[in-house]
Parts: sequence; C-alpha cells; structure tokens
Amino acid sequence: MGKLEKYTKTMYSVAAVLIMAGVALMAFLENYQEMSIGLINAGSVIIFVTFIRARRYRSGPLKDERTVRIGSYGLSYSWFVTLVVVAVLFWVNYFGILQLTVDQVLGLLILVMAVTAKGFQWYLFRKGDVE
Amino acid sequence: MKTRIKELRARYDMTQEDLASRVGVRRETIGFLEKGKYNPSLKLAYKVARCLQTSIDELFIFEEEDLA
Repeated sequence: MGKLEKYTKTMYSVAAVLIMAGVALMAFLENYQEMSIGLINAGSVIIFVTFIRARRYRSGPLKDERTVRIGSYGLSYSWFVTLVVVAVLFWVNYFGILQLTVDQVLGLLILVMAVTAKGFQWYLFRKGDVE
Repeated sequence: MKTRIKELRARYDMTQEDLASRVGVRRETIGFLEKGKYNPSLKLAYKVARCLQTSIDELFIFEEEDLA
C-alpha cells in the first residue's frame, strides 16, 4: 500500500468515526446538539479535503523534501506574525484603545494563525523554495 | 542555480513525472529544480544525477554568483 493510499484510508476512517460520533450524540443525547453538528461538519470537511488531495496527488508522494521545508518555513513565519499580533493586542489593551473579550482574542489568534500559515505556504509553494 | 536536468531528461526520453517517481518526489519539485528555483539537498541531487546517469557536478551549472 502506498503512502498516499494509507493516508487516505486513515483520514476517511477518522472522518467516519467523527460523523458516527456526531450522529450518535444527536440521536441519544439531547443536550449536545451543537457538539454533534460540529463533529459531523469536521468529518465532512476531512472527507472533502482528503478526496481533493487524493485526486491531486494520485500519482506521486504526498510530501517531499521541498514541501516539508516550505511547510516548516510557512509555520515559522506564521508564528512570528502571531507573536507580533499578540504584542499589538497587549499594547492595545494596555492603553485601553480597544477592550476585547477572551473569546474575541482567542478567535482572532486562531484566525491569524490559520490564515497566515496557509498564506505563507501558498506563496512559498508558488515561488518554489525558501531562502 | 541552472541545471542540465531538462536536457538529460530529453536524452533519456524521460518525463518529469517519470523522474519524480524514480527519485520519490512530486513532479512540481522536478519542475522547480529544472527552472533553477529550488536548490535540492545533497541526497536528492545525488538521486537525480544517478537516474540521469551523470554526476552532481555535471548536473548543476555552478556560477560564481551562485557560490558567492
């Protein structure tokens, strides 16, 4: 079994487990409706992403030294941007310019981390390499 | 860094896909290597050179500015 095939099967299995857990929660426990919808959504997203990746890289390895290098650099650039955002938020809060709740700050950080990581990786993949 | 990969591939009638599968990388990586946009590890350079029956020295065109 190829690496991609193994990855695809694993991801489909994880997605199936998530969806089944979501359906079970919805069927048997009334108070966990939001969580069950979340689990079903997560499972569906995993199936979709895995399907797209499996189609795209059918004939080759899922990752190689270039993609691993770019992935790592993308994450480290993203970490640096997040650090800057945290510093800015600190001073914004310190000087009372903007009062944010914990939920808002955490949401913002999740968004910044995810968007910048994917953004840097997308840019570097198009460029070909990191220097 | 400029390379002779494309030229050697043509000599052996090998597609980017063929070379990529032989050395175990994605086709895009071979494309970027050919365009000189990606500097490979020594291991990958050696594998590519071996597949194209040449040496690393012959495969890459080292110029003064690359070494500066």
